[in-house]
Amino acid sequence: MKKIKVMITLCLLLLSGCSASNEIVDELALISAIGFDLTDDNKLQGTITVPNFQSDKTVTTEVFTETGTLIQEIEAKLNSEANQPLAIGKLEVILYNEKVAKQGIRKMKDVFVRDPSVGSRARMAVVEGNTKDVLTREYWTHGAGLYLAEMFDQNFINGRMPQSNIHLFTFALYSKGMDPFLPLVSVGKMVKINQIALFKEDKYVGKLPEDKTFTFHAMKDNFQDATYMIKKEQGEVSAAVNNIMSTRTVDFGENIKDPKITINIRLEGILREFKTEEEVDKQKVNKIEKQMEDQMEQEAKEIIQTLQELNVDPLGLGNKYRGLNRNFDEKKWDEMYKDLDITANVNVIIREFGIRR
Amino acid sequence: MGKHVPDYFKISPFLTFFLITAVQVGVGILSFQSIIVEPAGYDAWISIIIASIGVHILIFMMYKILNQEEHKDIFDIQTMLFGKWIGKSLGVITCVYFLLMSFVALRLYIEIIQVWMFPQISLLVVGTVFLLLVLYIINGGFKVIAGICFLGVVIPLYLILTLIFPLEFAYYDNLKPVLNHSVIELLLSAQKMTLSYLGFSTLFVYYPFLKEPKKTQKFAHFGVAFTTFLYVSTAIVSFLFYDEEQIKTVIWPTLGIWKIIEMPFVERFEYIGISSWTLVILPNITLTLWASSRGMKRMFNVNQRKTLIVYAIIIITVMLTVRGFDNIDKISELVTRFGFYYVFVYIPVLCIIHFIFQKVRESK
Repeated sequence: MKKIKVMITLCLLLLSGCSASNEIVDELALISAIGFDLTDDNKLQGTITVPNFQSDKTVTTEVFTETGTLIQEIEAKLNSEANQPLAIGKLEVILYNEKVAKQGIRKMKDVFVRDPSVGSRARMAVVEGNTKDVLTREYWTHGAGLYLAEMFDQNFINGRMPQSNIHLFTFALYSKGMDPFLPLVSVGKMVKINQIALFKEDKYVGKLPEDKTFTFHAMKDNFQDATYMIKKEQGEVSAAVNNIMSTRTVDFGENIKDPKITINIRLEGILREFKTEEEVDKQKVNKIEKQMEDQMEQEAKEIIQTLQELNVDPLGLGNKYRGLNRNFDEKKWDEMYKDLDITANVNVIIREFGIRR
Repeated sequence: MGKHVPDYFKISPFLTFFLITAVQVGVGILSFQSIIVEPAGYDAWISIIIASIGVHILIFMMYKILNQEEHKDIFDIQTMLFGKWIGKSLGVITCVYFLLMSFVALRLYIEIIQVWMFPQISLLVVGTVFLLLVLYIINGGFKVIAGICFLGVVIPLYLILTLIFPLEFAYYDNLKPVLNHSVIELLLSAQKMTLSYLGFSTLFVYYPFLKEPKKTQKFAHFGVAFTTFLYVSTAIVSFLFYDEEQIKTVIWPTLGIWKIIEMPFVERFEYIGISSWTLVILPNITLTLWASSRGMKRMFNVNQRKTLIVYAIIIITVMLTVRGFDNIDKISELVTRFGFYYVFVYIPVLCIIHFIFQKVRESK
């Protein structure tokens, strides 16, 4: 009797493994990046890259492209081309072409949020030009997906780009007092992540150019480790400040009903390179500090103007305001936002200028 | 009836702490956030504390009744107060309630496994393996069950560290302004929250198994306080992590939080989390199933092992016949609503009736 019991238990425990489907990593095509374009007849075109690991440690990238109206439809079509079942669990990068992003990407993001196997850290970006072009390039020995993922990450960590991923985008999309933004990838000789794509709801409405990215980041988040270029009037770079630590606070003024918003930015950095014949001394440093403050405040002014013209609030000022105002009304805020008095107040402190006099 | 539980079957007073916490924390903690934010928004963490105070009062009442009737459990007390027929009918209802509770816990856990890990996994196989384990534990007696409850709290406790990772994306303005909802909204949330505290009424059944039962009251209160701590910290971290509108669209916010965790050795943490959750669910099912079969034994003198086998067959059959997630949700809602009335209406009423009974008995 006891033996039978043991046998039954063993059978149940061991055989239960057979009921789950066999999904072995080596026998799956793990999608690492996915891109969406529009074809000429307004159909959605999906491009995926699958890294193919070779025995000599190099990675070749397989690219598949199909068109369709639903993402699942594209995936089904792609599966009929791939030699191994496609799996989405290691998805790192999701790219949207500008035209696709202009039509709204809520549905196209929802597919990935709904799927439990996609991580919340998957990076999203808008591409100026064809995403297929970005995904089919050669990136040394890396696969396209992995290369792009690492490129995004190092720009986030070093403060050149405000952090964004699928979770943060969803957060901002649902949030009452914030609009989403995404990195904007420009395609030239090299693929660069250097601009900001602004969204109203889920639609791409405008962008901030490369030289505004730093100031935008400083207005949005605290960060460290970035570099800022100070320009003379002619647009030529005259000095560079490194290892910047930036903190920001938002002040709504005394009357909460009629807010006067000041974004206080405090930057601490190190001066490393400057284009001048003179010796560096305290006075000179003070002058550079002042120059940087003026330049950033000017840029901030232009950024705020762009944001208010487009009526988008990627800085999350609405959320801050909701936190202070008990009778927050989303509609009222939306109407108010365009004409709000928003200024940036930048305070630059240069801590040192290297190990030479 | 009337036979006392021998001393060598009894457990140390401090284990009450684990019995209470183990049965309260279950599948609920994976999904309670999106339910409680509906009335009170992000002030709902206050409602968790309000609900907890309610549970503390109920535990106090339960001890008030039980302490005066040494060596007796709910089934004896009900027959004593209401007579044989009504008492036993109430007892059967209690047993069915506990049985349904264990069914819901098991079914919801398997649903999570199906949605998150293995969509094709067979209900029959997982259910049978799980129930075999549960029957095996109950077969070892109440001491073993208490031991499983202890392990079911201590081992998964490391999961509390996972609440640190999502703070990378914490948005602290989410919680402000505090107390921006009316008292009624807070209470509505608190009512939804009580569902996550259910299960502590099993204390009515295992009370005779406690050594020096009067001393266990403080451990029971500690147990509820610890559960509250777990719920409040989970809720606050999720509130910082999700936007208020966003969290309403998420079915399992706690599992969603785990999705953001990335470690060098594991790409996605929720697989480890869900697997570890087996140890949280196990004492849940074990204790309620034991309480239900114990009731049958106390009232009708049937063999507990035979009852359990019948129970297991019932659970498997119901599981295989009731398909579709909305039907399961309906059952679970029914059980939790019944549980709410059982706990918040029946226990106070029982306490009052018992108090009157006591006075009458004394005056005689």
